[in-house]
Amino acid sequence: MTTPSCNEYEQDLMAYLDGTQGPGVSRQFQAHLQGCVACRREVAALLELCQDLEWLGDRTRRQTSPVELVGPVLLAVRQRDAAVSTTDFGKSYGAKWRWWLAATSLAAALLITWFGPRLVSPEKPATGELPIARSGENRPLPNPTPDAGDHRAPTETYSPSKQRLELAKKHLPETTGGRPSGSEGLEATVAPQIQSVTIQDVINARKQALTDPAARARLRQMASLTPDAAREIAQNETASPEAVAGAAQALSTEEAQAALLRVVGHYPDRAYLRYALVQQTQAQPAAADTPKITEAQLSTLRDLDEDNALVYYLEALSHLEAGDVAGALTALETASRLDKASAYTLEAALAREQSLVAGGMDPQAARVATAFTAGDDEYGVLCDLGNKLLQYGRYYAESGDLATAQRIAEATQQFGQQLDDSALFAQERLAGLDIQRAAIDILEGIYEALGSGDGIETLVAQTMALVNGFQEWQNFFNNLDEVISEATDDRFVGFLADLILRQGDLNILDYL
Amino acid sequence: MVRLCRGDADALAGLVQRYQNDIFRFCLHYVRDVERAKELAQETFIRVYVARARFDESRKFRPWILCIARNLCLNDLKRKKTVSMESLDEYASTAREESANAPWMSDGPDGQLIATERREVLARLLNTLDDEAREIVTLRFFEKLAARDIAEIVGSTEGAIRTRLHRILRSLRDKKIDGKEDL
Repeated sequence: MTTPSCNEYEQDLMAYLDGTQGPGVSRQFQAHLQGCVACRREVAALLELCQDLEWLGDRTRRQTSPVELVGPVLLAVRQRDAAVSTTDFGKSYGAKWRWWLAATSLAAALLITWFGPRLVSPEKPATGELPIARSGENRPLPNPTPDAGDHRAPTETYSPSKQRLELAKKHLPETTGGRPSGSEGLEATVAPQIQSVTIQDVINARKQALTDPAARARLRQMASLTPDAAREIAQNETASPEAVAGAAQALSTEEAQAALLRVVGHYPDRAYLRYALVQQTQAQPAAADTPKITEAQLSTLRDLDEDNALVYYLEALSHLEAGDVAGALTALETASRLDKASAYTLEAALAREQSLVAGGMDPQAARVATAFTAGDDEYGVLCDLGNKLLQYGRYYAESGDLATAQRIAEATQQFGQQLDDSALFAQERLAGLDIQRAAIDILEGIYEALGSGDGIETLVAQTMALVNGFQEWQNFFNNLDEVISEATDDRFVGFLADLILRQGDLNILDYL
Repeated sequence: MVRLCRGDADALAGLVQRYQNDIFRFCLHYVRDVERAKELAQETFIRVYVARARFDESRKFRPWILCIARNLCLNDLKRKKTVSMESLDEYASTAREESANAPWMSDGPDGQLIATERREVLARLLNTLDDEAREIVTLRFFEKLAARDIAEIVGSTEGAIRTRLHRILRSLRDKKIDGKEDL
């Protein structure tokens, strides 16, 4: 823009930077650019400036805390319209859904109340492996007394409560195993170079994943670093703590622990980093000092996040593994009194996003890939924790200590309930549902052995609630899949990903 | 918005949920006070509800609601005699902090350092702009609005906004080149 002829293109230049120029103008301007070094330099400098300004804007957008104005606005509008009183907010999607759920519950309740007693005795529940799908490497338990394996009452003497419970359980879906993570097909595919993955690749994989497990595997790979790339980030002193924590997700336990120890040393007050470290420490092969280290880390995590019941369940497991039953029961009692349990799924997703970007992935693609796979890992982690606690419950039941078994199993059932209630992500909620189902199976045997009819009645009500929970979860995913299958605009998908990484995925349908 | 215009009161909740953070952030640019920004954002939605019958369905909704929010903010500033729009100081410090933590946003160690320094300088340079220029920069790069939409919000023409934006960018570039960033 240094000569009069160049100045003629001022509007074209800004339209060019805006991306809003017409094709004719663009060709003219492009032709001018080819012959004008000064304009080319100007375009390059201004493009860089625009990108930097957008970068500043993006960071500000992300860092502004979200607000919740729906309630205050609706209240103000209602007050304003009070005289007319024509506003009816009962027809929202959520309200309709609640009505549908209520109708479903009523129908199921009627079915059980009226037809339950007439049915023949249901099949005896399995006493083998817990129905949580992804059990981890459980600590080996002492062998129970061989003939104490089945402590249930004989099937011929089922009480009406028991019959209702069995009937209610028939309404539960088959074991879910979570949303398919695609890990099953990973070895069959060539891992994509994340640097070359585009947002469109991610969207296509997500759409294909609706019907194709291999596409789910590709999507998962797109959201994962290779161990080499993860190692490079983990060892980079200038990488952000979140990027290191995200990279640690792709490293071996030992390497991840070393990397997390370093960042926790720099940022001792960040609960998620501490939690990630606890996870890695607990996953270490049993070393002499592992319980002490875990205990110390959990103690610090408890101080940082005292309202999160998950911390106390981890502590309980640590006590059980160390043979400290009294300590475990105290921790479980504290955990049961809290309202929420969080596996830091949102923080883990944001950390993974940062690590992918640090690994050279396009930021938009990284954001969408992370959003679409958020919660997959946490589902497995939460189910493993529930599974391990219930293994101890079963162990004490089989050993004849029904009181301890009951307290562990009831607390684990409560753990599932807390996850169900406080989940931000569908996978967290599903873990809560699966843990409750597994706990109910164990509790059923314990209550039968104790002859507790009230206990069985409680399980009937809990199972009914669980049926609704699973149905609601399934409907959520059907609706989400429908939205994604119809999405054609990158910006819309980006908007979805922004929402998911800001507040989880469970409520995003309310925004659409 | 179309649903709201046609009398579907449920649509208001969806509208607020969808735009509340955008409008809040936009108000925050002007008033620099979180609570006031929330109040103004809330008032914006109430104005939208009241004026729903006047909304032209052939026009975009976002510039319209931003225009309402802007007018409310400017009136509020006038009443409270606050002298200027957000100085972007917070953005500058945020950018500096983020830059220190965000070397992954660029290529290679050298590139990272250069980009970090460049953005730090730019964040400081934004404070040298006058109110009008800062508003246009905010709308274009922070709110990611097109020149046409900015023109609608501030009551100008698309061409005038483009020209103004070009001059602002050149001014920022020249200041960087001249080493005037040491402010």
